[in-house]
Amino acid sequence: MKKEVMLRYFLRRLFSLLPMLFLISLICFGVSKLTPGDYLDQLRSNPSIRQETIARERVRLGLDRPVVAQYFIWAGNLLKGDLGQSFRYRVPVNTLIGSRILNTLVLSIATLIFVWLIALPLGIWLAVRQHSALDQIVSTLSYFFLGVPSFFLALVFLWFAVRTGGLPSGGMQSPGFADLSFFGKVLDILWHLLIPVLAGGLGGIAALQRRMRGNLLDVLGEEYVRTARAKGLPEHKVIYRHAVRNAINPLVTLLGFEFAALLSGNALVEIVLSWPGLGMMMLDALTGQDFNLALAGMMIGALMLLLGNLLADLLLAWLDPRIKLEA
Amino acid sequence: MWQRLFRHRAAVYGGILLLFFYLLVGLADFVAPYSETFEDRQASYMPPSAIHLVEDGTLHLPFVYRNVRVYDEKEMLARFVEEEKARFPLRLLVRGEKYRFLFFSSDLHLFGVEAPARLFLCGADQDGRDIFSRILFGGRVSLMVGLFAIFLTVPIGLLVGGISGYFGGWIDGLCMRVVEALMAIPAFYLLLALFGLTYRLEISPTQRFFLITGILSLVGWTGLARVIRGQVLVIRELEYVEAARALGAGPFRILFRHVLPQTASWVVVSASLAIPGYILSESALSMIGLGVQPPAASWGNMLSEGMNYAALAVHPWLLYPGLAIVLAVIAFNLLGDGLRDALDSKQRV
Repeated sequence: MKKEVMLRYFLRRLFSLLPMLFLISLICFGVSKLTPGDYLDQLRSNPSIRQETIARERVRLGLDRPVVAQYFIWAGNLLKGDLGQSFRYRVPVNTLIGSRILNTLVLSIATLIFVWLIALPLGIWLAVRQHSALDQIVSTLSYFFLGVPSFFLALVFLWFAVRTGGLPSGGMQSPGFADLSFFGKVLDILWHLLIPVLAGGLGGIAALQRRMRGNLLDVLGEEYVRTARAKGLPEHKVIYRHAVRNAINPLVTLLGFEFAALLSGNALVEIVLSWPGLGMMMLDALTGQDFNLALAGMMIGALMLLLGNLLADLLLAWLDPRIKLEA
Repeated sequence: MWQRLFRHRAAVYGGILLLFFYLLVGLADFVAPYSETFEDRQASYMPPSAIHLVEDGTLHLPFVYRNVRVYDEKEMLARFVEEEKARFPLRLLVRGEKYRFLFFSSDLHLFGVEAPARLFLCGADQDGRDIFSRILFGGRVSLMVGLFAIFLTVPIGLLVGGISGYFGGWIDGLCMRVVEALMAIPAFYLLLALFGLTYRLEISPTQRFFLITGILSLVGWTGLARVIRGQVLVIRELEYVEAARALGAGPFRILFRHVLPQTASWVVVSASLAIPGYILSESALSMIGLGVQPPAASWGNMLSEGMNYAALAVHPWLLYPGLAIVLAVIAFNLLGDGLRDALDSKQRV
């Protein structure tokens, strides 16, 4: 029964994404049309691009036709999965964007794991020791780190890395990466992940730890916790079996949002530490006037955000019996 | 409400810190020892001036030595050495570069030292500009962007959220779909695209400031509109609104006179919590070269010199503008959290 309801809910939500995608594509397309003049004009002055390419692009995008027609041509190509050519790299955008997405996912999933693995236990641990000196120190530190932007942390770590000389100063691979064994490659990437993950994750730990601590403190004040204690359950059972479970539930939505931000959340860290991901690519595309690439990046980021939100709702509906799907 | 706010010690500190910051950047012409565009090519990457009190075992008023660039043959790089020949005392209210501030022009500066010595409290950047002075001038952009942005987003948010929530139906559906669509595009990519398309325009620093604020507001109004809509949905069902309707007041009169004013406290809280976000966006985009363009200063574009890690390794003082960002953001967070707690009766336990 529940399975069937879930499936119907899922399909309905998936269907409702279609008008949303239409609106998003309109906005993205509108933004790209904000460029003063037709952007092929700017490409024409670039000697490294052949005139034939520009002519082909002109026809493909229907730039000699009205804007509305241009939108439908672009959207049609998009539905067929054709994102156009990158002017800069001379390859289809699709092939280029795939590897960038992979790199971004490596960084953001590593950051996500790092943040959740540390923040949840830390929050629980501090909630149990509320008002202790350590709790106060960590709380103050967390408040501080909430105010430190990731790009500044990245710069500070970069300085530290170059200063000490032992850590990589940006990038994803060492110069001799191709010659390494499989294990060597994994280790090398992990080594390069260290600074970006720290820079992108410390703020996240601060925020999540505060949430976890606050939720658990709220739950610990509930009556069923008092009942459990009155029953004579040992304290660790009261906390871990009863309180923590209920305190974690609201964080599931948060996890969904984190999925949603996987492709765009660490863009600035990528840029500062030259991690070859989607954020770096977007910046390069915009400064290099590679608009097909930029437009594609924006659309894919949006798609990911929508799917992430959907995933969050599903997870929550699945975990929390109080949510009614039929409403 | 004010009493409850003042009981919040942290919020008061945040507010005082902010007042101090705004005062400093407002009076930057007077407080900063050098102007925004002052350059001394001989002082490229000069380290922060060391302020001395003692010379040859005797105590003096605070003074600096002149910093001279010498070329180190062995290490093949230029370094600065203090010339201990003459003392340059720190003076209060010194004459320096001329500036115009509001209606009067002056050449009086709060403090400084006489040339050829330089007083670079936070060191100098590649072009030999005083980082401390530029932090003050850059703060004008960085701190004002947030304020101006909420002056734009609050009316938009009130209008869209109010109409959407009060009228409901297809108007609500349409408005909220647009809001959701805007929110579904990763904000940073949208900002990146909008800034990337406009940063090449040749416009004056003032025009650019308003362009930046405009773009930030365009992307940032959605969250506020959603909050307002939620509030309006609740308020429109209250009895006094019903009474106004029964008295024959028109929908817009009810909305603007009776419903929206009730959301004021929420607006204040959301706005004050949103400002740090605008400051960070401006800094980030200026840092990667798409926002405020040099020679105009902003905290973000000053940090862009630090992205060159070879320069950063030897000149860590390039990071000082980042500290300014951190302080401003924390101060706003403190104030915003305090406001929220003071206004939210539920949290008053």
